[in-house]
Amino acid sequence: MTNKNLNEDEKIRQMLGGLKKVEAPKDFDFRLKARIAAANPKDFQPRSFPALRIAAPLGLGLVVFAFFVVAGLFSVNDESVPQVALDPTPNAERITDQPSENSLAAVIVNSDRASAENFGRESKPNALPKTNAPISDASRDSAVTAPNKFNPPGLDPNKSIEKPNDFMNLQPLAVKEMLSFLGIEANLSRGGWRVQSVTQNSVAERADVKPNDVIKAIDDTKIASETVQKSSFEGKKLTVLRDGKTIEIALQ
Amino acid sequence: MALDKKENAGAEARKTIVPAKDLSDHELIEAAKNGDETAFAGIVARYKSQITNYLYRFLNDYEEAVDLTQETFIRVYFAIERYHTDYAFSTYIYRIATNLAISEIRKRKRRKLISMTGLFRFEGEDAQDFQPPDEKPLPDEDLLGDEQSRTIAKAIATLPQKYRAPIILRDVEGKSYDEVAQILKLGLGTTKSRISRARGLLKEKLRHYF
Repeated sequence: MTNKNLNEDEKIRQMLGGLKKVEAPKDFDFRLKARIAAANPKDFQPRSFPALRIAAPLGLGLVVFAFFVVAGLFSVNDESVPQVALDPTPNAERITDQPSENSLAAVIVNSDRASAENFGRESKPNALPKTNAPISDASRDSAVTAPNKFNPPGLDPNKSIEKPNDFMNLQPLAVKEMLSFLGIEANLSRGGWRVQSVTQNSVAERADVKPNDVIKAIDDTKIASETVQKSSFEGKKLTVLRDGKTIEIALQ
Repeated sequence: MALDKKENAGAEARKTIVPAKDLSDHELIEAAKNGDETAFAGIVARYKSQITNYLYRFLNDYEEAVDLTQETFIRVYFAIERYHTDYAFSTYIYRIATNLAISEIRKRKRRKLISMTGLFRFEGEDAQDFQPPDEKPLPDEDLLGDEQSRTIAKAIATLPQKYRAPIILRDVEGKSYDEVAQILKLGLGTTKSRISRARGLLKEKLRHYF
């Protein structure tokens, strides 16, 4: 540093040091006491955890940022979700009483109808009927042809159902009427249908059905209630409990 | 009254009455801690003009300087229990005053920014909601002295804040470099550098006096 600079620094120092000192006003002490008296000591207490004033909002911001980062990492890939509705036509146009052959509703209706018709035949459940009608663009093919299979345990989906026609034609028949048709007046008691009387010249009388016989079955269909589920009533055979023995009686 | 709460505790301290001017800063502080209001008044009497002068040169506003000087003593009063004698009391009180002055300058900048937004207001709108910028002229002629003193005061007031405090403490208040460094919590080299830089800036502003 040159002498000139030193001299200039010294002159600056002298100029600043030569400034007139400012005094506090005469009423300084009085005003100070008044302010101390009016002050709330709690306003001058040190704040606890002053770093929290910065750390708390910063931490909150980091949590929000982390949430969005994690949400972005584990978000569902939209491409893996099959698009079901691509048809831009309004719903009012698609929902009709008589669905067209190519519409999704028509495919489902046809599928149900074919399933009903093919019931009992050797067919695989869950298999949709083959149709030459193209699936409309109302849905993706994968959304219809690849359903999830949920079978209860122990049920073989490939097992055919025996006598499906009888099953389909089952209907409730009144046992009392069936017995009356055979000429038997019976009441349902604890053990079954107990014969009260037999009509003369009836089928039952010719078959030697006697009062107090307990009718257990008609045509191999057990009767233990007011009605039975049978597709038809033939009246060919009775299973009777007589004197503790079960006998079969052929009807003519 | 806040001062009254210490009267009982200070009764014993007043048993041995010693003039405040004969006690050191730390002795006065200890007495004030024990509730001796006379001791605290002694501290005020010892430093009120020094701090007022320092803040006046810092802010270039006498009323604001007096107000902040009182604020400084209020803080000392309520924090006196937490004061420890690891360093000089003068360092402690100048540090409080400096922090208050810096806060005040920041407030002024905010007020000035808000007042500038008033430029974009529509005509006829009431502009009294905003504080006008602090463009007060220097106070009484008695305080400022001659034209040179006024020019020097303006030059100091226009220094950047980081240069203003060191140069005032060193050249106006006559503190040593070590004291300035302690008050501003700066390294000794940084303190000397800033003081030198402040003098250089002042030389440019006051070149017609050389």
